[in-house]
Amino acid sequence: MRKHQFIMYLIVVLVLLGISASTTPIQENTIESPTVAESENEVDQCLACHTDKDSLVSTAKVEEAVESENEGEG
Amino acid sequence: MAPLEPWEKVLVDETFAETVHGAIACTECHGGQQEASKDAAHSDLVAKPSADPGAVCGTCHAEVVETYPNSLHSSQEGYWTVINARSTPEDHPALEEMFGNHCASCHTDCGDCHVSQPSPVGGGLIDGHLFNATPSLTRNCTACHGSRVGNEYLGKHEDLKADVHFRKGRMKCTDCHSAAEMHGDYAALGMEETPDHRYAGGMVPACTDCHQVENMSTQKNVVNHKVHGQVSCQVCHSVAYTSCDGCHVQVSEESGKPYFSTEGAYLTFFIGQNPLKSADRAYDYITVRHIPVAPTSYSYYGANQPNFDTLPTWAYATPHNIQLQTPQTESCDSCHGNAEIFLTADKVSAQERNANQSVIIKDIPELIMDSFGDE
Repeated sequence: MRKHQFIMYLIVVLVLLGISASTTPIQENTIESPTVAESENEVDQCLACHTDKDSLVSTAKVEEAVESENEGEG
Repeated sequence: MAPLEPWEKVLVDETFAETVHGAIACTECHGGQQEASKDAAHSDLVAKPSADPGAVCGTCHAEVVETYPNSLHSSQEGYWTVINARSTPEDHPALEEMFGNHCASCHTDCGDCHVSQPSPVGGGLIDGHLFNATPSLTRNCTACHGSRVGNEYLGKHEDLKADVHFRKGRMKCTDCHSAAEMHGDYAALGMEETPDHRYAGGMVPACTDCHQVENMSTQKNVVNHKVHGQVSCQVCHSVAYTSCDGCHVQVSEESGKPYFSTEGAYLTFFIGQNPLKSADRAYDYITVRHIPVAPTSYSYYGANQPNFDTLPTWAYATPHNIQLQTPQTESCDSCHGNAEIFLTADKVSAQERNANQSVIIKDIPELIMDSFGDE
């Protein structure tokens, strides 16, 4: 008899705990964050090109070689 | 430091997207457009977003962006302190033009230390756009501070060893020069005022931050350090370092670009009087190096320096080539009675003698017929 009473008591406590947890309000994140990167389905065009060495090599502007006119230690 | 190829400067690491900064859309910081064609994608592009740190970096790093304008890397106030001291207001318009052409490009922003090589040395991503909390010793710090600090610290002068902190400890610049110092958060360093020169205000960093005299390994060391309390650490623990002469700046008639020329660079080691004696730098004796300023440095711009003699040309120096054993530590008489290593009047050119009165040693410490010897 005592054993049954204990099991019933345990069930009631667990049910109450479950209800309590499900009703605890979830805090909303109010920090304004910068725009996140494209979602997984969309292609980020910037990264697609800038992670592709061959693409960068073929499109890079040749930099004009600048001969330094400085003389001596800087 | 080898220059980067144009494509190398903008190649982004594939793992960047997985980082904290990679979670932010590229266009959020760099502007431009999400387009496949290069021209369309680069319209309204901001190549260097941290040029306006408040608008970009400050979104998350507000506390750094708030103090950074105080930093000497940002304000370049150290230059103006000495330029103003040697000139008069009539010359300032010409000096401002000179500064814009020759000095302003050394202004450093967040990206120059944390993501790219500094712009004055050509820029380019260091680590595929991965952000480094700690700047690279060679690709950031000594990329700019190379000809004196870098060469001394890394042991690039023939027959001179690298600084012991690098040789034995592989210590990086940031191991001594804290983020608070670099970011201009001087209040966090206990300074009440923003320094207008790197040797103004508190001595940050100080050797004694790590090396406490009381903790020296032997009693003899404790005594030697206490007896020489009026001597800066570099006087005993530094070796020869670079001095430079006669820098002149002008604009090239051929290319229209600004350039400089210095008359000479050479190794010296001289002990001088401390011209900046204060509660923070109470030393009587310090190491001095000749800095490349000359009365005619800015003549091309029509700017004179009528108060040239206000500041020494043999300036307070903290060479970055520290060694435990140096010629000075060999015996008492390495310094006492040894006129060779003191900046006496005969070692200063006649036209600069007035400017250097505050550092010239009049009486060298007397000879002591003793040596440190062994324990």
